[in-house]
Amino acid sequence: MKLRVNGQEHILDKQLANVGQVLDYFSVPWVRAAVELNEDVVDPGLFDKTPVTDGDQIEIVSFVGGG
Amino acid sequence: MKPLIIAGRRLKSRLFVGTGKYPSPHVLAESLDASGCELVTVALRRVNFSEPDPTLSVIDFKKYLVVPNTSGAKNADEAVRLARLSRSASGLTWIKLEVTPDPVYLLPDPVDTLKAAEILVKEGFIVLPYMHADPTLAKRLEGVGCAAVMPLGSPIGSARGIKTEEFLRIIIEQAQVPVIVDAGLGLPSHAAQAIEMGADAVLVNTAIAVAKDPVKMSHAFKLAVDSAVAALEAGPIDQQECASASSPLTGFLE
Repeated sequence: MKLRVNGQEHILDKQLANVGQVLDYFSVPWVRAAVELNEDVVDPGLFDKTPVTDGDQIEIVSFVGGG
Repeated sequence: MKPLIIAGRRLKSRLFVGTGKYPSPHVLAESLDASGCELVTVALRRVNFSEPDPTLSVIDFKKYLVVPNTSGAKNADEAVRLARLSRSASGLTWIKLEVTPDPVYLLPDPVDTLKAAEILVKEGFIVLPYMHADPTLAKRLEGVGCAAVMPLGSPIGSARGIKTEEFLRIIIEQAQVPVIVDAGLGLPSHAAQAIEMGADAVLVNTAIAVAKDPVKMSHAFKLAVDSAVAALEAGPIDQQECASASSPLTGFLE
């Protein structure tokens, strides 16, 4: 499966069904992560219900120190 | 001083602290504790899958009011995008709005800040905009529904102190929302000056985080802010043109 995640092409060794599985694949905790799927923000309550397909563009962001 | 209330939330500490640039998560946690702050700011960035940032693991999101910023946004569209993602990640509607297209001085773009503020307020955000010390802009931001205004003392991280004093005075005089002096405070005395001028709060990051001893500096800022609050409550005397002797003007030796 091919996804563009955080600006990088990723060829995955398995097929992922939804945003939640993408987070798990990249070992990102769901808490305080935000996801954009093809430029639309995904409701955190729907991570495991929002399907992903080949070629999707995904942004995964979280908080860091800042002023 | 009248209580500090932003968007209905009462804040006892008038020192807000940013969480960037600390040498370690441990020092960050200790510094926040030493500051006595209740409101902290954070930034939003792409997750680094190979090296996740551990900094914020020490922050108790129940203990502190964690306000994400839109740092990195160069225009209104980018700021709105970051704000929406921040809301999704934090579950909170508070946002420190920053639109800083200029990479050298990080000065805020007034036009796009106002544009983004208007959009975000309509979307239900509690918007705290970082802005130049421009009284007219402060009124416009207040007019579109910002919960506070955050005028700068001097450029972000510059430690130059309050170089915008005359205009901050006008903002403080006219504002109907809390005024938080943000950016450029390098010493506790700068923070005390802002509060003594009548600012409702100050936001400090670099001056604490990059100090040789951030925990001690954080405490020093707390003392300065508390000192200024106490001074205002004590009722400062008016400035005079001429000297006014402290010692009796009678009973001199002849």
